[in-house]
Parts: sequence; C-alpha cells; structure tokens
Amino acid sequence: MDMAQASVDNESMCDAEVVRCQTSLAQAYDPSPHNASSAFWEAVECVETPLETLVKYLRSADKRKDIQARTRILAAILERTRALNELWARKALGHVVAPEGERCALVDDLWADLSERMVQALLDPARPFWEENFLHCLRFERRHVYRSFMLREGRWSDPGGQKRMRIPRVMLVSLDQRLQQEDGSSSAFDVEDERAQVMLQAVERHELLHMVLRLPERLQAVILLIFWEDRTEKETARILGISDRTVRNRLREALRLLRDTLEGEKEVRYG
Amino acid sequence: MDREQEEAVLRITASYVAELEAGLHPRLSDYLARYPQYAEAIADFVAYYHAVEAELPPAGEVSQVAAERSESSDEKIVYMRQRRDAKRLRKVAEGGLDSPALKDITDPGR
Repeated sequence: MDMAQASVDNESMCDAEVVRCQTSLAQAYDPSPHNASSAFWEAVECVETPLETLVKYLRSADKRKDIQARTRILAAILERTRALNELWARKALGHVVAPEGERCALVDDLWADLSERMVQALLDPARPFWEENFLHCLRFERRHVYRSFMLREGRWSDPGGQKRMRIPRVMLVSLDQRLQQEDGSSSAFDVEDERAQVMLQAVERHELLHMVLRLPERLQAVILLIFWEDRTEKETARILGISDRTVRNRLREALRLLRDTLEGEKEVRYG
Repeated sequence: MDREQEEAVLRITASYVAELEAGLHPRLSDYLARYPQYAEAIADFVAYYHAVEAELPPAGEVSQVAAERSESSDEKIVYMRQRRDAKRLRKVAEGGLDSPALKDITDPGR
C-alpha cells in the first residue's frame, strides 16, 4: 500500500470514527431527561454517561445562565476525572526527585492547575472537540498545564531547579566514550556537537522524550525524527520540507541546548 | 496558534492516538509529512504523549481503581491527610510561624 492510499484509508477511518462518535453522542444526548428533574441529575451523576455528553449539558446550562446546574455538572465532571488526573499528576512528576512533602505539594498544585484549566476549557463553546473526544482534549490540556507548571516551578529553565533530576547511569558512563558505528568509524554525523550526540544516543528512549519536551517546539521534530525514528538528516529534511542546512542548524541548536542542560545537571549533582 | 488551528491539531493527534491504541504503530514521520503546517505542534504532542500519557492506564481502569480505593477507607484517610497536610504546610510557609495552619498540623488530637 503506498503512502497516498494509506493516508486516504486513515482519513476515511477517522471520518468514520468521528461519525460513529457523533451519532452515539447524539443518541446519548437527545433523549436526555428534562433539566432539573431527578432523572436528569441521575444521568449527570451516572458513570456510564459519556463525558462528552456532560460537556454538552454543561454548556447548555451555561448558555441558559443556570448557575446551579452549571456548578453541579462541573463538579460531576471534575469528580469523574479526579482519580485519572491525580494519577497523571503523580506520573508527570515521577522523574522529579523531591522530598515526599514537597512532591505531595507539587502534585497537588499541578492537579489544581489542571482543574482550573479544565473549567475554562469546558465552559468555552469555541472548543467543540471537547464534545466529541473528551479524553483527548484532556490530554492536550494536560500537556499545556505540564509545560507551564515545569517552567513556573523552575524545573526546566532554572539550573537550580534541575539539580535533583535523575541522570540515567548509561548516559553518565557514555560521556567519556566515543560513538562506535557498525563499520567501526566513530562518528556518523556532520555536526560539530559530537559530544552532545553521544550523550543523546546513549539516553534511554523514555528519557530522550522528557528531554525533547524541554526544547522549543521548532526544534523538537528534528530531534525526534533523527534520534527517535532513526531517520537520516536527508530524510528528515524531506519529511519536514526544509533544507538539509536547516536540519543541521536546528540539530546543532537543539544539541547545544540539551548538552548545556545535561552538563549543568551533572556538574550540580557530581561536582 | 489560533483556536481553529488548535482544533485541527487536536483532531490530527487524536487520530494518531487512536491508531496507537488500535495497535497500528503509526509513524510520526507520516503525520509530519502529511500535515507539515502543524509539524511543530504534532511533534510536541507526540513527545509529550509518549513521555507521560502513554504509561497511564485506560480511563476506565482508573475509575475502577478509584471506586475500589474509596471503599478502602483507611487508605483514603491516609491519602487525604497527606494532601491536607501538604496544603497546610504551604500555608505555613506563606504565613510563617504565626500561621493558624501550623496549629492544625502540630495538634496531636487532630
């Protein structure tokens, strides 16, 4: 199957999925009990009512300026997602080493930030996808909240805030080694920052992703394609529709930023 | 990125996640090549998704665990106390030694 055909098939699949989702939502929403009846509130608090449907109820209540209903539906949504969001907050901060009390406070703050952002998004009728795919919108919101939080807390930008981050042992060991290629040569890239290349290639896949998150958005795709998907610079340039030179420049800049971060952490932690 | 573009990125990345969850192993490069105008936002989300979200259990399982945990009252009490203490400690940090929150934490009869 060629790329064009795969693309068409994927898009058809997505369209079909969207139609199926919208139909099931319409079915769930249309026969909703009359507002303010006990049956309505049973539906709101029933865990089997799709979250997308609750968003429709919520926005409907907000449009009618029914504050009481709005508050109660919001509370139901937040309660339904509480366990998942708390788990996310603990997971997202899992790699940040901190004393237990501090970690608990950070998790609490991150969860509170997310709840605030969720309320804003849920009440915004200009964001219709919440009514189609609640969980994905939640993931997206969490991504924004996570980045803002890490920057605000100085975990990503303040060198002092990064000092407790775990550095993978395999990466530390590799700092003094040269990269060995299959053919016995010691370097495969035409990039000046060879040491940073070695560091990145030695990093575990999961750690690499956490590092990539710290980079400006415009540099992330290049790093992901080269180090995560093992693409060459030429392939990367073709995929992104940019020149080889731009790829090299972005790679160099990203590696410099990552090297500074990693070496800063190593110096702070090990002297 | 305006609201319309953000909605487009939401739909594209939702498709990526749906493929992943269906076991289809989507490639980031395919998505970047298909939607070059959103390449930066897609790459950003995909890195975040695999770093943080992919390890989370499905939402249904989490709800089940939460329901079970709420039935296990001892664990819930300990957990709630930890959260309450964390909040009070922050208030103490903001209010100093005169903070009423300090009394709450140090009160042995709480």
